[in-house]
Amino acid sequence: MNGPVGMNGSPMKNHSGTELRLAIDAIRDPELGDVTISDLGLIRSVLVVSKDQVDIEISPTFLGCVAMGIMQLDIESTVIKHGYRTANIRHVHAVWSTNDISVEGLIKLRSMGIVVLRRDEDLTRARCPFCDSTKLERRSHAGSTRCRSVAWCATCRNVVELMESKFSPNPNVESEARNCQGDQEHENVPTESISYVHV
Amino acid sequence: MRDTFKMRSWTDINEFEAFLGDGGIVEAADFMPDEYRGEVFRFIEMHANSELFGGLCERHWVIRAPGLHRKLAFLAKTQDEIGHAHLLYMVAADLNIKTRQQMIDDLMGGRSKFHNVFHYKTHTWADQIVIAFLVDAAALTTQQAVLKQCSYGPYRRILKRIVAEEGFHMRHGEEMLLTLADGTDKQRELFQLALDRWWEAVMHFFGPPTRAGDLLIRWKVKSATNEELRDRFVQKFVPMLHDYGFRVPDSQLHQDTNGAWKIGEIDWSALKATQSNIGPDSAARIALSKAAWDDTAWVRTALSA
Repeated sequence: MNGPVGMNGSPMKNHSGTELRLAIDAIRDPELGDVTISDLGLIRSVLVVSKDQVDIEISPTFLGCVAMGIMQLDIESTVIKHGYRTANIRHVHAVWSTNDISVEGLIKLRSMGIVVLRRDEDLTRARCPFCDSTKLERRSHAGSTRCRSVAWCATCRNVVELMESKFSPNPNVESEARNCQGDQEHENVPTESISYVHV
Repeated sequence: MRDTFKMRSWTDINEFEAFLGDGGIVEAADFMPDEYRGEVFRFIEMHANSELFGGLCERHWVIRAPGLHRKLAFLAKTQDEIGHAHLLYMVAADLNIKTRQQMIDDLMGGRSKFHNVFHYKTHTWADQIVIAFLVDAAALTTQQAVLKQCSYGPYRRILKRIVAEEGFHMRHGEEMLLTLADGTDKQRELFQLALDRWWEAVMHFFGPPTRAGDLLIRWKVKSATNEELRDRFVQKFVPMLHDYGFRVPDSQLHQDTNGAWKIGEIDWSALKATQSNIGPDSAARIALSKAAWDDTAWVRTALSA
């Protein structure tokens, strides 16, 4: 990545939008309490194009994430509140993984009983957020949202949820996705679906 | 790291109640009194049943919802509800009173309780909006009150996540309500008619007046009485509905000298019928849910293969 890097390692293309960027970073995920969309690493870039327009790149945790609509509304209203006329929100597909979640995000998620497994990390190394035991057993691949699955702590007998990267790491995914940008026809054809079928 | 978990026990109910009185949190492995275990189980089972039923009954609205945006919102809601039921059944089954399969069988066989609002037919899209907004808000009100001090740890921990997601449903519900409120006379009328049909059921949702000595309150599962929760809801949503230009169907509704909204006397007969699974649409709703459950059996089979 070239240029200055903002929170969560995402590029911050223009310094004049700092205040706006901070406000966008404070927007909460609609389903995760205190966890912000920035903690999750969903905001890829915020670019102030003119005093009228802000371009924002956002990547959903999963294609077809049903919380995207509300997130976009929240971003738009934040942009407008800061005096800009339009928020041009563009989706960048197939680039999100749990590696994009910030350390603060990890801590907040853990306090909600959600364990993050980084890419290539499996359940055996994970620890229960309630009792620190390593005896977590997977109970289902599907949770209440697509980015979460369900586990059980055999030690303290609490339900734990997992956020994990469900597709195998593919170094080409990011560049392929970038090549699709702006091409409406390709926007709904995620590269991730080629290598992985979600359950 | 620890791989064992300390189990606690209490010599008698007084000692246990003193523990709860000090804000103690009961864990799954504790030797809790049987009565407490039973009460907590019944409460969580009903919550789980209601989430599963909500998801199964509302499923057919996904394809009927107007437009892709709304379909996605309904998809989100149903997947959340099924997901919540999953978490809740895990916690309920761990209490070792019924297995998950027994709970599902009882529910599908009409032998189990679930929330009153799922005993009624949804006539129009506006009914579904009333449910998405008012019923979800009512559910959120009651769940927040449980989350506030719930003495059963495993339930409290999943509630934290469930409550965060219910808030999301309400936002969808509010957005849908605003669309109708902002719409044509016909759209507004559609919502008003739905409100007329559902208001009583929403008031019933909080339950009949809590009896003195209610065990769930005594043992700090619930933090407020049914009347307190109903009143909290009324104070917030009556003015909101008025602001949107809708009429609350209660001829005795008025403000007292302090400006607080007072609702009329509630007729509990309809709630009693739903509690025995003989509500207006109970049989059809149970059949609908069972059909949805049976329809999706292949998915569960495939996932467990």
